[in-house]
Amino acid sequence: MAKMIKLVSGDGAEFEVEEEVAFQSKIIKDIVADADDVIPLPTVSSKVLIQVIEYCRKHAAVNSFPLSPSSSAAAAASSSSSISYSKPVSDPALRAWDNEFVKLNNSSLFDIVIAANYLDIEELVDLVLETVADRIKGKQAQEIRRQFNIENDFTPEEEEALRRENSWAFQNN
Amino acid sequence: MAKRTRMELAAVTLAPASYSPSVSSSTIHSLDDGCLTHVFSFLMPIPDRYSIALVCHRWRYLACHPRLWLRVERSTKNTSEPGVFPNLQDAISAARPGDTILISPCRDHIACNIQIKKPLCLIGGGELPDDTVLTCSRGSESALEFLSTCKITNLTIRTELGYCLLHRSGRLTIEGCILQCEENPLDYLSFPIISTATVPNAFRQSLKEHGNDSITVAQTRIEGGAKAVFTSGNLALQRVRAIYTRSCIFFWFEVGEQEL
Repeated sequence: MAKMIKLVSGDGAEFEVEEEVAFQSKIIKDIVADADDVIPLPTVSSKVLIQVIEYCRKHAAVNSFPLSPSSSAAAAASSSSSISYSKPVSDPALRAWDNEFVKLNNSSLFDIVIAANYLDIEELVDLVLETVADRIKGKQAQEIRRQFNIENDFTPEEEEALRRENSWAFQNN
Repeated sequence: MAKRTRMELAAVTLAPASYSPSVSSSTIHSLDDGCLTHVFSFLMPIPDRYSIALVCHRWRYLACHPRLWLRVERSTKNTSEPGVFPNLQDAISAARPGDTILISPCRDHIACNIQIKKPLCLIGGGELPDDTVLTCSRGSESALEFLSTCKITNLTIRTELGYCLLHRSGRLTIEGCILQCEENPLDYLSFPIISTATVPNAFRQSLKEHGNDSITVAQTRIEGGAKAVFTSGNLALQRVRAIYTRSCIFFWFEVGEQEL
């Protein structure tokens, strides 16, 4: 019988999950090591906790098997060429599941990544932040502001100076 | 994140009745600097990081932050860190168009016939350009060969025989650098800057497609060499200014299409 851990969301709902699922969160793993099976998570709402548990359940099965040498080499090779620290998910079926999982609006994504950051679930943080990056790709500043409701706090002079400063990078001004 | 003890968590547990979720109003501003920088690290420098730098002050600060730059460091202890390279050639190979490469202040960097075919910015990491020295040894034609729009700043480029900078195409910006050549060279062998770029003698429209091949030099010391710039194409040296100090001369000039 798998050991169960009880998670309590900010609004008081209780969720019982298998230990290996809960241990996707490094924070929970540390707390349970202090001999504690009921973990209150006051900053995480039920709605978000349900989604996070769903992710952890799916990935617990995969993470229980150590990375094979070939996939870890592939992960190392792709991460050395850029500064991003994410390790790519090598299983295509899991990647497809992940892509479905992140089909949420921006606000929900931010809720999830804040919770995942708090709980220290590295892969979920990477997944959501990469999704956010995909929503920024190819867009001009004005579009990005509109999509994420960001106020433009540059004065026209500052904006012009910034464009000029960066113009070296563009072949055609 | 620090380990949380049960006592600490118990202290902040709220009774269900007083829980007021602000979750429905999570915006991108709720992400901390670490998360935002992580998002930006997924984006290609050109055009996306330049677009995000224009969004707002906070994004500009994070997008242009040195944390996203590649680094060249000669000491080997840092080679396991992502984004840190033991030499300039490796960093340039790994860089994406638009990346910035910070070269550590050190006097024995090597740069021999390094071709740059993508837009990059090379920055010397010292306080003065004298602190970061790229040396091109005798056997090589040039230290750096540019086939793309680039910017270099705060660096010293020294060549024993040959060219410091070989400009083939693109807009090259040289700011606050020192270019050093052989003191008494055989005339055709040593120039700080040589440009083979040619502006096509055609209508203005095709010029725009080509981009502007040119070199802009600002506040740069040029020492040695037969003359500062040699152009084998049809670009011309113009708008030259110089400031003489006790020990050296600083130049400002442009190499571009001859203005009539």
